[in-house]
Amino acid sequence: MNTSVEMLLAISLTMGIYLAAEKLYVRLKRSALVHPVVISIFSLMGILALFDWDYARYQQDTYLISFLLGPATVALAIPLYEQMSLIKQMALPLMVACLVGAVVAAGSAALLSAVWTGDEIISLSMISKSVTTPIGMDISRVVGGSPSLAAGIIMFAGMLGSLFVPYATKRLGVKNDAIHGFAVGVTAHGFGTAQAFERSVQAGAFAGLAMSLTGIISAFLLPVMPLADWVVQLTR
Amino acid sequence: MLCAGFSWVVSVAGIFVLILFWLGGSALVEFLNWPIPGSVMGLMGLWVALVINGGVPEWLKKPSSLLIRNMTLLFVPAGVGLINHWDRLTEHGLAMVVIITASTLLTVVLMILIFKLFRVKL
Repeated sequence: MNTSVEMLLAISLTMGIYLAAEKLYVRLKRSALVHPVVISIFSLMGILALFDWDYARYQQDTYLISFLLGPATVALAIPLYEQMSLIKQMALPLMVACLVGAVVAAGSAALLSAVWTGDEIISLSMISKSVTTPIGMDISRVVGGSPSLAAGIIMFAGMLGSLFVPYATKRLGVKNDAIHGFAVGVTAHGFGTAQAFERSVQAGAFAGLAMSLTGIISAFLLPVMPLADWVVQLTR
Repeated sequence: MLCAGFSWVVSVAGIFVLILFWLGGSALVEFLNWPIPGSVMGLMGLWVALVINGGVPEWLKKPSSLLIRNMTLLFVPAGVGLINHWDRLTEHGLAMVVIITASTLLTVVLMILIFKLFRVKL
């Protein structure tokens, strides 16, 4: 029975810390820097380190939570279906921008990282940097990166994107909330979408659409591109 | 009570359909030997089904929005795996932050240029 108590402890701890982090997030006015995911992950890492709790066991014990990422990813078809009507007004520019955005966001991060850090696993995990986490982790698995590292990189891309993209679009003279939302959605996925909704419903809807499209385009395109091979060559 | 029981059954049906599409997508990519995540293939399958159906049934929408709303909780266990990469993060953390920021800004600038090319109102 010991194993099942450990499993329940792992699941309760994960959910409890997440709920507490969410409370803190609301209290601190929803700053991306104290996002519940960030706080939860770092708190749990601290607990694991403190109690010498092996990550492989924690991972096994919390599999029930991770498993739900599968149906959750499939469920993204619903917002995509509902937001598809937004695209009608300017389908071609949006699709081209999303395609180029997805490829450049992945390629520039992975290649720059290969040259600069020379770390193969980091650079391969950089490929899914701008992809919404559930899809990004799967892409990372397919291209030979680490899903955990990808989750971390995606988290930081979301935070940094929410911080800098609004500044960039402002400097570039973007006043159309649809365009701003789309740019934030492609580069900063869920974090950016949450932030875009605070600007306006239109910005949020376009960000959500951009996030889904980027995820799908990346999943179909990035694994068949020779990006991973280039990264491996550059880091050797 | 009967009502609560009914909605529970309805939610199970929704989760069942999501898992069914996940299964279908995963089986398809494995059969075709495509390097594409099965979950994304399942997403595409469900999207096509919704387009054909012409709407989202309530019994599918409820469990789906529950999962999507709380999606961030679902990848916490994977994120904790960063602990196995701690040395990497301390060694390359600063470079990673700079790379992520530079790559993000480059992407935004290129996308805005594309919108300008298409003469979309900025």
